[in-house]
Amino acid sequence: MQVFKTYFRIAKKQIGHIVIYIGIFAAIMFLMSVFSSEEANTRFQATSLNITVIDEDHSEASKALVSYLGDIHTLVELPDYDQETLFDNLYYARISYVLTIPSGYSDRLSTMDTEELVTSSKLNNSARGYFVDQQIDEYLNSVTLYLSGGYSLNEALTKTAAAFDSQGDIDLINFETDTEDSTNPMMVFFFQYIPYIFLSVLILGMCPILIVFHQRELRCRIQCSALSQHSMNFQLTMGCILYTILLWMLFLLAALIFYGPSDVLSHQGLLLIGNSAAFLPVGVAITLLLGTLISSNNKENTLNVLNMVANVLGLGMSFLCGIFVPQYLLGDTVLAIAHFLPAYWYVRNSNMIGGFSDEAMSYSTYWTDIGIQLLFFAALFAVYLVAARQKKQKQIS
Amino acid sequence: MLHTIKYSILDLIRNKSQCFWLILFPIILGTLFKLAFSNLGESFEPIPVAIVLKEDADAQYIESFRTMADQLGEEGDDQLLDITYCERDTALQLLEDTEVDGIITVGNTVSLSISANMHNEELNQSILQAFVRQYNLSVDAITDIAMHHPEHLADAIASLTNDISYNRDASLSATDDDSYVSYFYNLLAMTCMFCCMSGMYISLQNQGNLSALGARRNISPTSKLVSILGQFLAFTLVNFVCILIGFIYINVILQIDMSTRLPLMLLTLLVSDLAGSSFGFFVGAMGRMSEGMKNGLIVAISMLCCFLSGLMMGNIRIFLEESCPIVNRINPAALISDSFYCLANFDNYNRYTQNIISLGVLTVLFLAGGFLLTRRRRYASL
Repeated sequence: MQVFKTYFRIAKKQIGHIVIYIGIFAAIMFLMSVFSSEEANTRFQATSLNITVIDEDHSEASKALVSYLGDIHTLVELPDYDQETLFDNLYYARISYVLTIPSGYSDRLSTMDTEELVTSSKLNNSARGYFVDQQIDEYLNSVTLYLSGGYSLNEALTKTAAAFDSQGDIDLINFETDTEDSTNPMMVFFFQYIPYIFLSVLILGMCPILIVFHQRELRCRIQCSALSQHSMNFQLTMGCILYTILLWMLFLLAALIFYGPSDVLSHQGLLLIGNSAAFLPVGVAITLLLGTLISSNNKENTLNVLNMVANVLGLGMSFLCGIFVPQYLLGDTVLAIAHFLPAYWYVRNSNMIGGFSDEAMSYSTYWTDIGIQLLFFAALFAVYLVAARQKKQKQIS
Repeated sequence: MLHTIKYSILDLIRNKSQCFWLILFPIILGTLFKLAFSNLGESFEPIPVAIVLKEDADAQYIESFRTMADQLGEEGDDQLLDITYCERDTALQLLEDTEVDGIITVGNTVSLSISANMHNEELNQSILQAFVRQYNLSVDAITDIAMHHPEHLADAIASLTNDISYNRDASLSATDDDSYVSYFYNLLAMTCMFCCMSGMYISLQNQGNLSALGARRNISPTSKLVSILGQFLAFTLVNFVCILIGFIYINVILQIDMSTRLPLMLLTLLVSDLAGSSFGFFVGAMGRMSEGMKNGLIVAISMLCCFLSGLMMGNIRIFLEESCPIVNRINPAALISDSFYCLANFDNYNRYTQNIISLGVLTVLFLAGGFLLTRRRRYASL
């Protein structure tokens, strides 16, 4: 097992930057899970949006409108109300809507001069903005209806408020038979980012070790020894697998520390761990393949190229497969393409477990998705074996 | 100096992989981003809904509801609903299969049923709810007026049909970009951050203990300042050309228009390129760590910078602006992407200027720090 031992000797030599990578990516992963669960809180409560209302009229009528909107939505106060701050907050989705009630609102309303009574800002084409538009129209429609029916402004406001209060609830139908306990969304997000994090850490941390073995002189020396190509590939693969498992355990440990054993070892937690275990071999195969394809005797360049490749592969796959952007927001074409990438199946499982998609939890889907990930591993590993063989022939000739 | 610049440029160009990846990186990822975001931007689609008309209800009531619903379901730009009329059982089946977002039942009043399992359609469910409520409210109000102020009933009914827009839409930005464009700003910021790699090589190639070339350089009579500055300028120039190719690709092929105030956009790219390179140069000059270690450090720090500026999660910037604004002021990646954002969306230059000045200050600090660390370094034996 010389190759296997040497593998870890090289790894030990490179431990410094491997630790940096792991540290930084674990930090990114944790921060991402915190931010996205905060975002998810707003996303999944689309019924109550964050909006900002600027009341310049300060009349009974404008206060009534503010309190009507406040009942439905969360009113957000901003440190500043200048154009830049407002736009920043809209653009980065902190708020979905800005309503300005200009002074004179009350007077104009009572004389039924309602054309462009209020001013609003939202992002171009925003469905949420449309939703608030509709609610404001609804409210003002009702007030003007009572006004034109001969009621005074105060009466119209009271009647409208009362009418909104008296509306019946909607009928909520629950189809789900197999209800799951609630999960910690932060932990689900943590696991969701594993394909990105693992690809990055493996390519950046493991490829440099593999590349050492693929250096021309070293390779030739190993080749003319008694060690068979078969045995060398086997030992390298074993080295990679052990390395990856160690890394995986580290991240599981991090998950345990961040979210506590009660979440991580819960039913969902174990399903998520199982899912991540299925992605590991895929990561190993990709790294092995890259280690064979990228090799150069110029060390500076190799590291640089690896960095870019890691980013292209990691970020590219993450965006296409819905790791950073939820799958249900991606177009059908993108999802069709994503079916050919292993991370798609990983994310599908993790969405299902976390209850982020409309798909109900089903074990057959879970195991199918895991099976497909393993098939990806088999395919990639076969390509690696072919590539390694070709490389050997090329180097000898 | 010119001699150094010339040979450094030749060095970079012959050493293809760095340039190759610097060009290819924004092209590949930009294409993938474009693909992934082609469906994004929250644009509004008609809401699929099933309508059940109860047989025992008042025929006139049903008819008036139907007229109004059909109007909203008419195909066109402002189509709100995508209506299927059916029986209750069929409607429930459609809802369970998530073919429709809700069921509207018209009897003596109008009521809405939605599924508790469709979390991703909550917005549509809410719009349906608002629609149904509006309808019931109007009917209630008309009944109320008919009872108490019958003389005004005609006015009230007239006011129902007049189509007034209460709401004036005031855009806050110069252009109407979708939010996802910020991912492209961040992509360019990351490409500029990659220039730090070449910055680091300048350091390494001038340190005798880290490369043979460095050892040779150390004994040459050219002053260090000249040799490093020359190399730095050459690298910056080549990197700028590479980044420019990516920028043109994003603008022309991917049709992400960033050409408003083009000269300033280019200035941003150049300043960012300088900032990236000088950052790499500084880290490269730091301490006596091995090359792999320095490389790791640079990759890790630049990843963190890009993450904090919103490469992976576009909205992280605004969270930081509230919780820890200092990060947005000193993080080069955030400064770069914010500069693009300001140029695209704001008419005034205050924030843009601030960003560019901050980047300039960072560049000078890194360069000065790098020089301080590199100067007078002597080796007893190599």
